[in-house]
Amino acid sequence: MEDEKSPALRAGVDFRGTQNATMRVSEHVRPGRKRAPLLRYVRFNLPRATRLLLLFVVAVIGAASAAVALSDREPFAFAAPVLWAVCGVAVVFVAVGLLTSARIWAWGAALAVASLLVYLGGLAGDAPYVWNGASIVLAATWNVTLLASIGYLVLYSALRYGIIVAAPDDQNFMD
Amino acid sequence: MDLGFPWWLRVEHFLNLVFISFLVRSGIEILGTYPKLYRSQHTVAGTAWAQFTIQRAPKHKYYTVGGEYDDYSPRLSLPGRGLLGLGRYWHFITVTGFVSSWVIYFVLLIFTGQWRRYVPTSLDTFTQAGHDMLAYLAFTVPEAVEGMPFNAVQQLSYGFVILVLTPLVIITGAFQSPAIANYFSRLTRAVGGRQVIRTVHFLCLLGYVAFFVVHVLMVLIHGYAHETSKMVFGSTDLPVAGGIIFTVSLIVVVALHVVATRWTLADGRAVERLHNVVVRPWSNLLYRLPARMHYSRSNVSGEDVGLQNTTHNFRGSGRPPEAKEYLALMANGYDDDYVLEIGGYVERPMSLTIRDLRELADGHSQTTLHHCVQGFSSIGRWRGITVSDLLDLAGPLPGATDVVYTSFQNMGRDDALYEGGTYYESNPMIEARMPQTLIAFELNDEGAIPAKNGAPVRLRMETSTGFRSLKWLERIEVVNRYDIIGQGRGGYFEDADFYDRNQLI
Repeated sequence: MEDEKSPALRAGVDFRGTQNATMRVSEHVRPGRKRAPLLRYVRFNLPRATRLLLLFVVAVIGAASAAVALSDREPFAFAAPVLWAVCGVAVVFVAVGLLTSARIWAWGAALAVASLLVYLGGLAGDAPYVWNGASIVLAATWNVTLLASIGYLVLYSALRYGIIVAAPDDQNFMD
Repeated sequence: MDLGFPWWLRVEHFLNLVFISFLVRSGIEILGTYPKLYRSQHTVAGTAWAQFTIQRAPKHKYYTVGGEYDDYSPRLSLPGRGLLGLGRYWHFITVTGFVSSWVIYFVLLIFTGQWRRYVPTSLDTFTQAGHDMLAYLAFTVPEAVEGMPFNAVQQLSYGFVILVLTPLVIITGAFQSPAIANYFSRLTRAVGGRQVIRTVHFLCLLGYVAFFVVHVLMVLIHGYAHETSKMVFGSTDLPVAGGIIFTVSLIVVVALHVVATRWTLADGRAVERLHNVVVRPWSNLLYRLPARMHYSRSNVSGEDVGLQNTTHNFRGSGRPPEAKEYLALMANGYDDDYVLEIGGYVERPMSLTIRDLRELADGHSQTTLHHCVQGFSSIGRWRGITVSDLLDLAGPLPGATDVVYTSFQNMGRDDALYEGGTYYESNPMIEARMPQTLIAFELNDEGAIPAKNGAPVRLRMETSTGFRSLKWLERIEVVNRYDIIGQGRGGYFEDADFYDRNQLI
């Protein structure tokens, strides 16, 4: 609603140059609806912490993949080179993330998807579960590749949706 | 000792389900009226670390704090629709039950020896918790520790929620009360001030929600009927009956929320009456805590300090009066024309100019933290004279019980957000006599109070929420009853909205 009580507007002074110059604007509200989708209301502006968190999750994926590759248990045939590849890419990813301000999050998502595919490969092969004869530590490490990958993809989705931002980006809150 | 699941523990578990769900929903309502979280007391625009709004504020126009509201759905918040006052009522009603229940639970834990179920008595518990975490990650279910009703991870997580998270959420909630925060002002400052406390309170909410999600997941993993049987009967002997009864209980909780929400939206005054019965008996005790805030990190003496901690741009809430007489006063710089009238039930009615007030104040000031009911804060150094000193000059007659302040502001005329008439506020005498209840005429040594902050003279009431510190003060009247003024609830927002006049929290 226009603010009819505005002294400026009543005096004929109109500063309206942008949509929300003199009134509040609700974003993301679809036509015919009163409110936006719930997650549109949530925005965190912790760019450096978010960047570190994303790098940490990828580091966990890499470390867990390396640990599985080092075990004497192959989830599927020729899994070791694939796991080492995931680990290697994770190392490069974390290094780039720490040493530059590049926006590399889509690459991280690709890595997470690759790790998920490795996990699915294990399901079709001989994944190191406890009920398959693996130790608890190895089974836990193997499952961490799944959980961390899902975790990264959830964070990446939140990033794409605007819930979180990673440095060098910023939510640019104005008010 | 057999720790088991005694009946009082099971009752507590169910009550917590009710209390915490009500606290979360009403808490979201409160958050929604100032849906921003900061690390700084000054709540500078653009510096929030989180926002929970889809609104963009006007950029070419002064906008008030009242415009910060976001309209959450009643399906999410209690009661929804930006009804802060009613959300607060529900929060405090539920807090009364939640804290009472927690204290009773804590005492029972201590005296029955059941504290052992949560407090690790050996470092081995932490080692075992590590093993249990590995077991969970390996998609297996770890065994309970011998003699314990659950495993080490559960023990530590339940212990954390009950003995750490809950006291933390209670303390950070309590310190959002202006009366408490401004009485224990050094503690408020030591932990980072109101916005840090507000942030921690919000993180506690996230902690509860995260615990709830994992807890429910674990119940499903361990077996719904098996676990709910323990919650209902204290043993796993009757899984089917336990599952059915607990499921029905969950449905009852959901029904309670639906009824509470609809009832609140239909009859807010009834919720207000319930609040007054449940909350006022303990919240009125806070009148015993006079504000003694002198805001400075370096201040240990309690004396007033300089401007180093004040907010450069003290946030405005409400729109300045547009009455001709007020605009004329403003045009003339107030000093020569403004007169504060003090009358009513007093021996010596008087009229005071700003010059008179300055002379009477004799340099007195207070540097205090403003507690907006919505959530923002600013720190201001206010020069003025205490209401108590003014009352001594005017001499209240026997039987005088309250002090009523009237503003130049007319809400329906001046602020598009509201309807209604003259803005007024009132104090019981005990609040008017508080050492930091002040008639202020200068902010931050700027020579005057800016128009948006209440020029030329305003009330400062540091024991209560911000809107009760009336701005653009025109007249003070001492009365022997306040309930025949306006709609009889003691103030504009008390009349037009749902706020308690005895608002110390």
